[in-house]
Amino acid sequence: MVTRTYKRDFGLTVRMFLTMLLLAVVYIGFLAILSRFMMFTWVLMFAALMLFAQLYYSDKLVLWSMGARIVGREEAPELHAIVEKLCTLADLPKPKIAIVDTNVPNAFATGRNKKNAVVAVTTGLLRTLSRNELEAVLAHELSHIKNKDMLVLTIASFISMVAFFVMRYAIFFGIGGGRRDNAYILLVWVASIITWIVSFILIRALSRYREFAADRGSAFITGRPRDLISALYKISGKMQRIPTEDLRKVEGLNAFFIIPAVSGDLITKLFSTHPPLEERVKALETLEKMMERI
Amino acid sequence: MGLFDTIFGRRGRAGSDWEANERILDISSAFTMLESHGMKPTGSAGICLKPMSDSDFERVISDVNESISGERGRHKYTADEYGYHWIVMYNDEFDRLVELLHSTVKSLIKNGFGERILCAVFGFLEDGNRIYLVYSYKRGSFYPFVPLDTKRDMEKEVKLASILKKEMNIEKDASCWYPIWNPPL
Repeated sequence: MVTRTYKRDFGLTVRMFLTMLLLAVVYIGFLAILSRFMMFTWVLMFAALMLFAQLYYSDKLVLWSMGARIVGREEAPELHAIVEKLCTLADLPKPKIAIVDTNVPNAFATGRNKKNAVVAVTTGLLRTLSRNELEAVLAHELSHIKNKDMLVLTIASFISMVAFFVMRYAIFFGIGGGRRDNAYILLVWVASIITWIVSFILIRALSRYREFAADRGSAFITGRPRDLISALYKISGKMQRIPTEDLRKVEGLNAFFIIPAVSGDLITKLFSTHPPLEERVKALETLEKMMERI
Repeated sequence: MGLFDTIFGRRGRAGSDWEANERILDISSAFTMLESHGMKPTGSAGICLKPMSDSDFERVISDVNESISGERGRHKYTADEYGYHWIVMYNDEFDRLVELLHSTVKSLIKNGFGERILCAVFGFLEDGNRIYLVYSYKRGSFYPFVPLDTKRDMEKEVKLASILKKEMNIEKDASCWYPIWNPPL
């Protein structure tokens, strides 16, 4: 039981690799076009600075934007104890722990590397989940840290950010240039739009694969995929939307029938950063069966 | 549902939408799946009708009696504390129960009571606990309702919905999963 072999999901690894490869191809193509651009070096240097700042200050930036507060051991002893235990199991240095004061149950991890990582949970999460479920969610976040997801996704979005920047401001570079320059800027502009759209979808896909990997990680650290499943159901927000008022009582109001049924399944699928709940549960249940056999 | 139905908002209109009403028959084909997940039908199902005058309800009763005259004695009429009327039917054969309920609804619609139908409710048992599948005629979709004392077992409902959505049209918008507390099934 002590030796936890972290088995890789071959299919997932392949899909992740292909996504990153595709992203690299798109980026190299974009940079090749951009490299003949006069202000190319300036754009790239500015972007590099942004990347550096984003990586270096990511933890503080994220914590600040989410309104998270670092808590010490005396303030949240149980949370610290759980994280310490999980870190031993996952072979990680202990990250800082933060709490966000909101009813929405959620958790996140940030920081550019293992040593500067922060794990944050909301007060709503602490209220909603049982201790075992909380462990499972924290193990999921620790897996993000272990897999260096923050770093991978920041770097992956880097050129996408450049493309977005060029897309918005390319027009200003064109003023005063000759006809040939203008034609070239149009080319750069179109290339940046394509790069941004394609990379956006690819980055989202990468993010979803990383979520699957973190789910797996959590299951292997705690040894109990079932706890993560029930935690996911609780956090999904689907349960919060389920009403408790009787249908016969609300029927008089009649308001809810107006809501149109928009079927945007594919769009939601392509653009979301997290895989759908059902797919995550299915993957975890497969894992559960596998673990029972061992 | 096709693209044009979405654009013109054809789904979710009251009573007269036949394509939507036929979706209730999905529950027959989902039967094997329900049983494999430990859900046994209680053999009863009900149609919930909005409040109406006694004379109107008598007309409903005579319509129903006429349309399922061969099955007499295997259904009952009742009212609940919300002032709604119920036609509750019993049949141990699940397929027959669904057929019976559907033909009753058809005859209600034919006689101009379509607008009065609120929903149909099917009862199931799992380890002695009641599970209901509610079919909304307005939205043409099913949703689960699992009472747990005075609350509802939402985790179970979400889980059930994700399993059942392969076989039947499950309401995607969980904010429409209004419970039917204590249905007289």
